[in-house]
Amino acid sequence: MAENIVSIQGLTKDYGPLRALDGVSLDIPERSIFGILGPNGSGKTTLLSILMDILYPKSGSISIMGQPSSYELRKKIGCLLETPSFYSYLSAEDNLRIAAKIKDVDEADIPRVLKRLGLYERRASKFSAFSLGMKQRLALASALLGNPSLVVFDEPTNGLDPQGIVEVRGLIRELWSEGKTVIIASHLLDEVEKVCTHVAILKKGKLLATGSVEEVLGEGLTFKFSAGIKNEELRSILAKLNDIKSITQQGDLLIVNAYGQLTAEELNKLCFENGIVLSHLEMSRKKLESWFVEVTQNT
Amino acid sequence: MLQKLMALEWMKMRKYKAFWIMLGLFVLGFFGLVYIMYAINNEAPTEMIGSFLDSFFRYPRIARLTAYMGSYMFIVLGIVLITQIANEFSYRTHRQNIIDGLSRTQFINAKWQIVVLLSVFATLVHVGFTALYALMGDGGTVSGFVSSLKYSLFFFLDSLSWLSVALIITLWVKRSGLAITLFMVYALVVENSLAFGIKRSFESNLGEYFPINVADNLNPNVLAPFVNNSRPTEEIAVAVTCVYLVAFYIISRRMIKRMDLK
Repeated sequence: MAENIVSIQGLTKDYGPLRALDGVSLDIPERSIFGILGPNGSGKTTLLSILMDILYPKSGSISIMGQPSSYELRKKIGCLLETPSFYSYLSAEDNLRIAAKIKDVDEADIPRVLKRLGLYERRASKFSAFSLGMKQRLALASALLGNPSLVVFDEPTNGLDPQGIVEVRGLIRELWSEGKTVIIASHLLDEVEKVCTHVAILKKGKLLATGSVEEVLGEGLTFKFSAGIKNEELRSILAKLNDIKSITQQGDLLIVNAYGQLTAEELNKLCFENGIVLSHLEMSRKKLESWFVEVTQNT
Repeated sequence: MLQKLMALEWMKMRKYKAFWIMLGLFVLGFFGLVYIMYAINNEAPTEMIGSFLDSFFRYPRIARLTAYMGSYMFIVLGIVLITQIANEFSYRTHRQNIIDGLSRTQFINAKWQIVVLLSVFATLVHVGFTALYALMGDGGTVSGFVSSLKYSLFFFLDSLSWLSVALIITLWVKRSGLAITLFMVYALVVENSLAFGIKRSFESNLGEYFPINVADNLNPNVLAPFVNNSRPTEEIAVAVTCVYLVAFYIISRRMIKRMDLK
């Protein structure tokens, strides 16, 4: 079982009368892509800001790599928080030199990260001359300086065109395959579903749910069966299974909601062994979006 | 660590055109203000004003004159500092610096390094112009130059005092336009008005001990036809200025350490 690279305990943060985080406790496993989901104003950025020591919590604690947060520890974390923040009058390269100096990273690493984010040719251009997408890429490049084992991206695809979004998604997967832990805060559910191994949902500062993507979506399997005149017989066979949540009929189709790790192959085999030949079998996994809506609307 | 912080601030400043333009303005303004006195001295009829001013263009009084005239340019240095620090807040690079691994104490220490470096720069300019105008006056002597260094030290403390006030105001309001306005109003109007009001109402010289006034008392108006007897002595003014500087450093550290960096 993976160790937790970040452990958050009972984090609470107030902005005046507004409670931005309300006793959030969360464990982020090492070598995961951890998506923090939530509507605007749910506390995602506040959570990451406290993680990076930008904001102070009212109560609660955070441990990163088994230690309390410190400036020395932050040097080992790559982070893009909200909007890219650089000196507008300096070039991309000069801005990264400043970040490298703070992080105690050799300047020789700068060309590597610029090439990786496709900015090497524009390294001498001033930050103020960059498009929003290029600024975002520069911030991602800065986060990768020194090859950190933990990277934190807050809305990493902000301002990127569709091609850029695909590239960032690829980058996140690459970082993960290199053994890094990636934490992403986003309100773009589709984006998170495509890359994340784990997710957490925040709403109005409260943690509503967390777990691996398999765990949270595995509960949302839907099968559509049809066995013609043998539908009733099929229903009674399926009803005996432990993993079945509900069975309803829509016309000629039996709609089965299931828990667990049931597969279409297993069910097809079960029907065949009971002398039922299926004329229709379709499996669909619940989308993150519908899970998100279900979780957030119920609270 | 101090070297690293200095290198970091240098990387931020060296390509910032406004910074160099403002420093250039400081030097030109400083030179120009003293030159006006020099020109009056040379061109006015001797019997009217020349003989009075002439005595200022020799050691050690030239150092007092340049210090007094140069202290008017602290406003420009303050604006340089405010712009440099407020930029961090407006670009939100202060947050990014902390995220990247700077501690809050290191961040504020780096800003205090700018305060000290700008004051060292101003002092070197003072020493240079003092020597230059002494040469243009009676030629000057080495012993005269050495005897005037005390006034360069006073000029340094005065500069530190002005800049520390600018630093605190910038940390407080974070926006350059507002910070510059508040700094100018405080330094040029508020302290003097309060000092005047206190003196008039309570016959007290308390106003002479306000942060900028007390440091300015180290570089008094040597052209004034009367002597201000309510001024603290040089020793007391130096001591009080140093106390203010330590207090401002502690306050600035507490401000940055307690603040949420939004």
